[in-house]
Amino acid sequence: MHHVPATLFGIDPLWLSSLILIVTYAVIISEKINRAIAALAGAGVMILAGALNQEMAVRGIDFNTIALLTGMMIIVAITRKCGVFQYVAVVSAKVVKANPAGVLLMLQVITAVFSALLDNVTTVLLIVPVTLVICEELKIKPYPVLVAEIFASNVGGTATLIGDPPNILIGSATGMSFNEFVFNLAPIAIVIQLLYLGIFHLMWGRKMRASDENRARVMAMDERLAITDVRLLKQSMGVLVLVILGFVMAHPLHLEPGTIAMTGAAILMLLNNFGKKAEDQSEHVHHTFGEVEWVTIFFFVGLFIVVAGVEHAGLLNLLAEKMLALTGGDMKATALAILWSSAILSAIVDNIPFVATMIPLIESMAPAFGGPEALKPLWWSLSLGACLGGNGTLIGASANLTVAGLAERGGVTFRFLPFMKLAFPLMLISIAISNFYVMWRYL
Amino acid sequence: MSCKDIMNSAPPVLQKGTTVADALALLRQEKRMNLPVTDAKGKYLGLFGAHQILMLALPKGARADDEQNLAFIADSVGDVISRLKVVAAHPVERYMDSESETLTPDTPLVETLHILYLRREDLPVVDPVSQLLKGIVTIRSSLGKLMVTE
Amino acid sequence: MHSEGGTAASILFGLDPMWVSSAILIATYAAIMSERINRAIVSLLGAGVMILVGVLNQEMAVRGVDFNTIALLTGMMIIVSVTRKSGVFQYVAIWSAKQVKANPAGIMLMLQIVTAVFSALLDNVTTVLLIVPVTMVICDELKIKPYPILVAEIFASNIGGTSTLIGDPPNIIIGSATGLTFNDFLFNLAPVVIVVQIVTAAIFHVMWGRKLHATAENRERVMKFNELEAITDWRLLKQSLSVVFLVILGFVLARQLHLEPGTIAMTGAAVLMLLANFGRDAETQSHEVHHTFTEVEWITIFFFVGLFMVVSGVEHAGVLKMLAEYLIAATGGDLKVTAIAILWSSAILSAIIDNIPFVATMIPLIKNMAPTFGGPEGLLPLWWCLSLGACLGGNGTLIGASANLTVAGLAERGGTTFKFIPYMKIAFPLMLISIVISTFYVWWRYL
Repeated sequence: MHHVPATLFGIDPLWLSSLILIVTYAVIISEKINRAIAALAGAGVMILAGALNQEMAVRGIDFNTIALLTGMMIIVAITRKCGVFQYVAVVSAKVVKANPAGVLLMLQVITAVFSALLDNVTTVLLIVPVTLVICEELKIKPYPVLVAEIFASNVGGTATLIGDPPNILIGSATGMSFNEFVFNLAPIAIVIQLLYLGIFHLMWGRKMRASDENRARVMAMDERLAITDVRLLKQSMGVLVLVILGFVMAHPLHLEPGTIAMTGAAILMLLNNFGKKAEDQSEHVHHTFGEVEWVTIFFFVGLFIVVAGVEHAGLLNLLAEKMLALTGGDMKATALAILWSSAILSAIVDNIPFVATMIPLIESMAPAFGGPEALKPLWWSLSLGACLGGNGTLIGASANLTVAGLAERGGVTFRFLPFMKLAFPLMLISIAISNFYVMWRYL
Repeated sequence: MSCKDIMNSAPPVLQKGTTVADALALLRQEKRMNLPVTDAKGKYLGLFGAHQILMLALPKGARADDEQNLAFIADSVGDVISRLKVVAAHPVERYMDSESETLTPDTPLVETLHILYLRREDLPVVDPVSQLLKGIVTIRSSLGKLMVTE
Repeated sequence: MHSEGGTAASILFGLDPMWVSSAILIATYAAIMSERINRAIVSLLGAGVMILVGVLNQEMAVRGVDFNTIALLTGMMIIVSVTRKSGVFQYVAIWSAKQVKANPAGIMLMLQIVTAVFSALLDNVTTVLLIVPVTMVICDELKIKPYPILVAEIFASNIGGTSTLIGDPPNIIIGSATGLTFNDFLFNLAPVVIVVQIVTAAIFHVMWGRKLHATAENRERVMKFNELEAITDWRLLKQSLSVVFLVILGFVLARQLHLEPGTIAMTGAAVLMLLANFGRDAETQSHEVHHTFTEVEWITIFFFVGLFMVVSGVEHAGVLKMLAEYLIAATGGDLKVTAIAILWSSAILSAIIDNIPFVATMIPLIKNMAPTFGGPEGLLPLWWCLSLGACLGGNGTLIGASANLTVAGLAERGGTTFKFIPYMKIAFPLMLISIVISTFYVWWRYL
C-alpha cells in the first residue's frame, strides 16, 4: 500500500531535505510566521516533495513526547482552577513575615519546585500574577522578583524529565527514566539555584524595603479564600501525586511517561466531570482540551517530521561524522562542545528545534563511543546547555516571554538589551558550573 | 470589607411569573440594566434585563449560534417590535439568565469589584446555603460608595 | 525511537489476555452507550487500562492508532473552522432560498440539496452547525415551523455524507484502513446516495413540503435579504475556497500523486492558516492559531485515539479473529449472506448506538475474513455494506449520529424542541427505506 515516492524532479534527497529543514528553521527563527504553521508546512512539503511518505512521517513523530506534553497540560489546566498555586504563594510570603528579601527568596524556591514538576510556562503563568499582586501590596518594584522567577523556572525545569521540553525529548528518545534525570541533573540544578538565590539577594534582595503597614496588608491576606474548590483541590492533588509516583516507578511498572500522563489526565477529567449532565460534561471537556497549548503540540509534530526527513536522507549521520572528525572522536571535547554550543544557541534561538535535531545526531555517534550507554555524558550536556541556556536572553525560553507578556499587562516593561546585559553573564556562570560538574562526574 | 457592606439589600425584584412587558416597565422605572428574579419565598432564580430583551428582539435562529452574522437581514423597526409583542405576555422565568455568576454576602471587597469588572453588569448577592436573595451590587452604586469613602 | 519499547508488561494476575481485553472493550463500550461519562474520557481511560494491565505496551498502542484518520479529521476541521468565518455557508443558504422565490416547499428542497452537498465535502456536524442557524432565521422570517426542514436537513446531512471518503467518519476509517481512494468511494457510493436522497426528498415534500405556507409579505422579507452582506471577509473567502478546492483536487488525484488523505488535509490546513495569518504580527498570529486549534473537535479526536487503542488491544489478543470465524460460520462463508447481514445489522445498530466504535471494531473483523473470500479484493462488497449501513443507519433515531444531536441542540436554543420518540416514529421507517434501496443496489451491483 505504501511506496516510498520518488523525490521531486529527481533531486538528491539529501539536498532536498536539508533545504526544507533550513528554510523551515529560518522561518521559525524569523518569527514572521507562527511556529506551528511553519513546522506543519515544512512537514507537508517534506512529504509532498517525496523525501518521506506519510507512514514514515508518522513513524518519525515521538508520540511519547506528544502524549506526555498533552497529558501534563490537561492535568495542569484542571488543577490550576482550584487556586492551589495562589495559596502556596501567599502562604510562602506570610511565612517570611512579608519581608521583601524573604518573599524574593521564597518565590524563587516555589517557582523552581513547580517548574521541576510542571511545565515552565504554566508555572510562571500561575506565579507571576500573584507575584504582581503581592509586590503591589508591598509597594516594591516587581521587576527583580520577576527576573529571579524566570531564572528559577528554567533552572528548576532542568532538574527532571518532565520539567522542560528538551528533557522530555531526550528522555523519550533514549528511554532514560525519571529517576535517572533526577539523580544526574537535580544535584547540579540545586547548586545553581542556590548560587542564584545568593546573587539575587546581594544584588537586589537586601536593598528592598517595605513599610510595616504594607507588610501588614500582605499578612492580612487570607490564603484559604484563594482555594476556590476544595473537592477539585483534593482530586487534582491526588492525581498529581499518583502521576509523579508513576514516573518514579515507571521502570518497574513497565510503563512509559506518555501513558502515565495521559491516563492521569483521563482520570482527573473523569473525577472532575463525574455526576455532571452530559451536556455540561461535553462543554467542560471541550474547554479543557481547548486549554492545551496546541500551537506547541503541532510545532512538535511538524518538527519531528521535518527532522525525520533529514535523518532518513542521511544528513544527520553525515553531520555527526563531521562533528566527530572535528573533536577527534574525543568524549571530553565532544561533551563540552555540545554543552557550550547548545547553551549559546538556546539563548538566541528556540531550543526545541535544536534539541530535536541534535538527538538523532548524537544517537548516530554511538558506534564511535562504544554503544548507547557511553553517550550519557553527551545527553546530560545537551540537557544542561539547552535548558539553562534559555536564561540568556528574553527570547531564550517560552517562559521568559510569558513572564514579559504578563508583566507588560501589569504595567512592568521588560526590554531585550537590559535583560540580556544582566542575564547573559548569569547564564554563562551556570554553564561554567555545569562544565565542572560534567567533567568531575562523567569525564 | 466584603460584599455585604456595599450591596443594596432591598432591591426591586421580579417575580418568576412577572410578564416580559411588566418587567420592561419596571426596568425603565428603576433605571436598571437588569433585575433579579425570585420565587414567592424569595429564593433567587436568575437575572432578567436588557440583555434578554435584546435577544428577544432578534430572530430565534440568532440564538442558535451567537457568532452568526445577521447583516443580511433587512427588517424594519416594526418587524422587531412585532417580535417583542409575541413574548410580551410570557413570564420572565422563560427567558431569564439562570447561569450568571452570583456573589455571596461574604465575598471579599476586592473580589466583588473584580467580578463586577469582568462581568460588566449588576450582580445578585445570594446566600450560599438557603439560596435566598440577599441584595444586589450595582456598578453605579459601588462606584458611588468608593467615591464617598475617598 | 524507543530503545526498549518492545516488551509489554505482563498481564495483571496472569489472566488470559483474550478475556481481559474483551472485558475492557465491553466495559468501555457500555460506558460510552450509557452516556454518563463523556465519550472522550471513557475511550482514553479504556486505552489507559488496556496498557496498564499489560494487554498492550505504549508502542503497540500508538501503532494501533490510525493516524491517517486522525490527520484527515483534524485537517478538515481546521480548514472548516477557518472557512466558516468568511460567511460563505450563509451566503449559499440565503441565495438558494431566494432562487425559489422564498417559497417554503422550494426552500425545504433547496436546503436539503445544499446540506447534502456540503456534507459530502465536509464533516456532517460542521455542515449542520452552519446551516441550522440560518435555516431558523429564514423560517422565523417566513413564520413557518422550522421542525420539518430541520428533520429533512438531518437526513440530507447523513445521506450526503455517505457519498464520499471524507463525508462521514465511518467512511474515513474504512478508507484509511483499506487504502480505498476518494474516487473509489465516489464511484461506488454516490450513485445509490443520489437515489436515496431523491426518494427521501420526495417523501418529505409529500409529507410536509406541499403543506407549508407563508404569506406574500413574509416571503417578501426573505427576498429582501442581502446575501452579499453575509460575506464578512472577501480575502478569507477567496483563500479558503481555493484551499478547499485544492484539497478536494488532491483527494481525487491522491493515487497518482502517491499521497494519502491525511497528508493532503493537514497540509491544506497549514497552507490555509499560513495565508489567513500572513503579514500579521507574531502575537496576533499566535492568538489566532491557538483559537483555530481550539475549534477542532478534540472530544471527537481523542475519542478516536482511545477507541483505536482499545480495538487494537482486542485485535492483538485475537478476539476479533475469533469473532470473524464465528460470523463466517454463521453465514456459511457465503458472501451474499455476509454482505446483507453486515448492511442490516450495522444499520440497526448505528441507529441505536454510536456508529464509530462499531465501525472501528468491524474493520479488523472484516479484514480477518479476507482468506475466506479470496483476498482483500473480494471484501469490497462488504466495505460498501458497512459504510451504507453505518452512515444511513444514523438517521434512524435522534442519537444515531452526532449531526442529529447537534441539530436538536441548536433547535432547542432557538425554541424548537426535538423529542426522541416522535422523531423516531418518522425517521426509523424512512431509514429502513434507504436500507432497502441500498440492499437492492448492493445485490444488483456486487453480488
